[in-house]
Amino acid sequence: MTARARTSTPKKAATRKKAATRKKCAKPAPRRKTATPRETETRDTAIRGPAADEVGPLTAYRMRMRLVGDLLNASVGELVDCGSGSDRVGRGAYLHIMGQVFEALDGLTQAVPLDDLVRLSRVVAEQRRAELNTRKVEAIVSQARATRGSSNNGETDQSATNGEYRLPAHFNEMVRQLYGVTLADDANTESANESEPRP
Amino acid sequence: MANGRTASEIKRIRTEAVVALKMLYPAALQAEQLFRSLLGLFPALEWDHFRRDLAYLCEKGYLQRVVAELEGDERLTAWRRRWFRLTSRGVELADHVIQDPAMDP
Repeated sequence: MTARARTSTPKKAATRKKAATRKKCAKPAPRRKTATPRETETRDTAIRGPAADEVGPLTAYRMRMRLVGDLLNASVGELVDCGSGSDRVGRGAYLHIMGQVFEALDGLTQAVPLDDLVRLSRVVAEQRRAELNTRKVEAIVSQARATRGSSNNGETDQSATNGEYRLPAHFNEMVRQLYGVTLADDANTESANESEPRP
Repeated sequence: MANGRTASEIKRIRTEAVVALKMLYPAALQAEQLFRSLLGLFPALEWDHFRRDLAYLCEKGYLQRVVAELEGDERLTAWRRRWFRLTSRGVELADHVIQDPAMDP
């Protein structure tokens, strides 16, 4: 098969020159990266999944429990069949061992004893309730001050602004009308009795 | 709001207890260990509330108590020393095969 003779015309020669120049100036094609074992997803990475710090606490907790469960079932899972009524000793031993293994895997071996934990949780809960109640009381008091301040017809209550609370001016009158005595009367009576000479 | 807990909190705690036992299924776990494990997720969880949740889940049929020979008289065993495992119904709930409005957070 003979090669076809090239008819060299000026146009064709120019085209061939351009193509040759383009080929010379063209950037070399990028080398294809050969896949290394580190870059491909191995079975381990597929099982591990995302890092623990990238997921929320709930997801991390469930992942940890799943791993602990898989390990427990793989290690002592065959002993669960001994849970029949006739071998309660075996089942008891199995439960005890499994509990210890669970504690070790879940990081509970260095944990605080449960009695202390119960007390601590009660203290924290009571503290939180006290804080909530204090906030409620403060909100009620501030609301009452604001209401009283607007209804005092412009009277400035220095004690309210200073954080102190004083009895209203007509409180003595209220006490007198209710009980027939006033705070001043009681104070005068006590001082009068003290000053009187004893027989 | 019951005992300082909202309904959603109650549901979440009960759901996570069931999910944790599902991970260990068919193995059982002591209430104390389950409580301490859940404390990492719910730091404000109180033991008294959790004990009632366990009793509730047992009555609902999602958990069952496993009595070990080491316990002796099972009626005298403290709640925190009792063993609990998931029932088949509890597994179905954890796998979302069945629905329970009282458990969905």
